[in-house]
Amino acid sequence: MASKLTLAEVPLLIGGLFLIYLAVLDETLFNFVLDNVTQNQFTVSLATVIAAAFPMFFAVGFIKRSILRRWQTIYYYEKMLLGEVFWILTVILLSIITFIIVSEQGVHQFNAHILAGCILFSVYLVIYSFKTRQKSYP
Amino acid sequence: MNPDSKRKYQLGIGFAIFAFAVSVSYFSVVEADTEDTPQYDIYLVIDVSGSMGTCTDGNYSTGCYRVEITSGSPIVPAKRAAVEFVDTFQLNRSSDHRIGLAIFHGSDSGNTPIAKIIVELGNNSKNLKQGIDSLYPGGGTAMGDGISIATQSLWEDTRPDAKKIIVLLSDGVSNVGSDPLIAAGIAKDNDVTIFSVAYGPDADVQTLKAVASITNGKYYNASTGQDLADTFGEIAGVLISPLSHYSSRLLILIAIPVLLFIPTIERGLTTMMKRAEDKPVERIVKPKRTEDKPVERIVKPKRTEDKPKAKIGKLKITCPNCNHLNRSTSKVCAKCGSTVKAKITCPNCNYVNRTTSKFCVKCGSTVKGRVT
Repeated sequence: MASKLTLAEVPLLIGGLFLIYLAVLDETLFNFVLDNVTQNQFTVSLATVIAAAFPMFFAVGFIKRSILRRWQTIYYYEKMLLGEVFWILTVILLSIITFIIVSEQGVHQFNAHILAGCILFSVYLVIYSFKTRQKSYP
Repeated sequence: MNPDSKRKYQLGIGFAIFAFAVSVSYFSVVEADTEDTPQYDIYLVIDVSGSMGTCTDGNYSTGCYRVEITSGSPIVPAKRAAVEFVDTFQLNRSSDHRIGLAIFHGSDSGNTPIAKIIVELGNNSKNLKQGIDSLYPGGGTAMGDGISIATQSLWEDTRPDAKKIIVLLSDGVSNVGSDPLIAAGIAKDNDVTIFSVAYGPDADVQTLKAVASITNGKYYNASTGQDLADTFGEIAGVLISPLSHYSSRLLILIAIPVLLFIPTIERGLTTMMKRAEDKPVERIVKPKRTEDKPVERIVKPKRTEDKPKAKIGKLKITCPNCNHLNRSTSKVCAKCGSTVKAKITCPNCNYVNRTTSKFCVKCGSTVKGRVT
C-alpha cells in the first residue's frame, strides 16, 4: 500500500517524523499550558491532549503526503490536506512552539534541536507552498 | 449509503474515537505512586529585604530608615505560605523529605549582601516554624547570595537519593551581592532545581523566570497573599504527588492516526471479510455405503524391480536366467533359450504343482494363476 518515496517528498517525511517527535517527547506545549493554569487532573489532561494531539494531527498529514499517498483519510481531512490551510496551520503551530521556547524558556535554556527543527521546517513549508502555488496558478 | 452520509458517518466515528481517547486520558491522569515519589531536600529561600516589610520612616525610593512588620506587610503572607508549605510535607522523624530555611537581604547601609541559613536541612517542623516566625525584613535584595548559600548547604549535606530543590521567594530586584543568574548556573551544576516565586508588582520577573529556566525548575507569579499561599501549596503538590500523564498521552497519539485513517481501516476490514467469505470450503464427502453391495477394495500389486509385472489371468513363466516373461506353455525361454519349467506354488502349503493344476495336489487349495 505504501507509495514509493520521491526525493521531493523526503523533507515532508522528515517533517512528519519531527512532528511525531514533538508529539511524543516534547514538553514545550505541555509545560506552557500548565504554567498558565493551576495544576489539577483536568488541566494536566488538557495539556496532554494539546501537547500530543496537535503535532500528531499535522504529522499524519505529512506522512500521508510522503509515503502513504494511497492511504485514504477522512474526507474533510483529505480536503484540508489539498488546501493551503494545512500548511498555514502547521507553520502557526511551529511558530507557537518556537515562540514559547524563545520567550518562556529564555535565552538560557534552549531546546536547540527543537528550535532548529521548527524554524527549518517552517521555512521549508513556506517555500514549498509557494512553489506549489506557482505550479497551480502560473 | 450516499457519499455525503458516509463522510459524516466517518467524521462521527472519528469524533467518537477522539472523545473516548480524551475521556480515558482524563481518568488515566493519576497521582504517581508514593513509592515512586523521590526524596527531597528542600531549601526555602526567602527574601527578607526591606520591601517585604512596611516602611514607617521615609520611603523605599528616597531611603527608608525604619522598617516594621504590619498586617499589610508582604512578609506576613510569605510567612503564612511558608508555614503551610512545611505543614504539607507532614515532617516527622521518619520522613523522607528534609526542609531547611535560608534568607537573603542586604545590610542596613544597603551595600553588604547578607545571606544566612536560619534552619539547617532536617525534618523538625517545629524548628522550621520558629525560624519562619523569626524572620524580620530590612536592607537590600541579595538574591544571588541567597541561592548560593542554599546551594552550598545542599551540596555539603547531600543525600545520594534525594533531589535538591530550592523554593525561592522574592518581591524585588536583586541589587546587592552576586548575580542571581551566575548563582543559578552553579546551582544547576550541582543538580539543584529552583522553583522561583515572584511576589508583588515590583518583583524581578525576568530574573526569576531565568533562574527557574536555567535549573529546569518552574516559575510562579503571585500577586496577592492568597495567591502566594496557593502557589506554595501547588509547589508542594507538584513535589509530593506529581501527576503522571504519559500513559494518557500514548492513547491520544494512537487515537489521532486511527481516526484520520478510518476509510483505509474500513476498506481493509471489508477486504479481509470479503476474502474470508470467498474462500472455498473444503467439503469431505464420504462415499455412501450400501449394505447390499460389498465394498470393493483395490489392492495394488507390489512392485519389485527384480520381478517383472505379471498380469492376473494370463500365466507367464519367468526365465530364471534372463528374467524374460514367457508364455505359460513355453518350455524354453524365447529370449535366451534356457529351459523354463512352469511351476505353480501353493499359497497355502508352498507345494510346487504343475502349471496345468487348478488345485494343490497336497492340500486342495486353489492355485490357478499363481506362477513362479
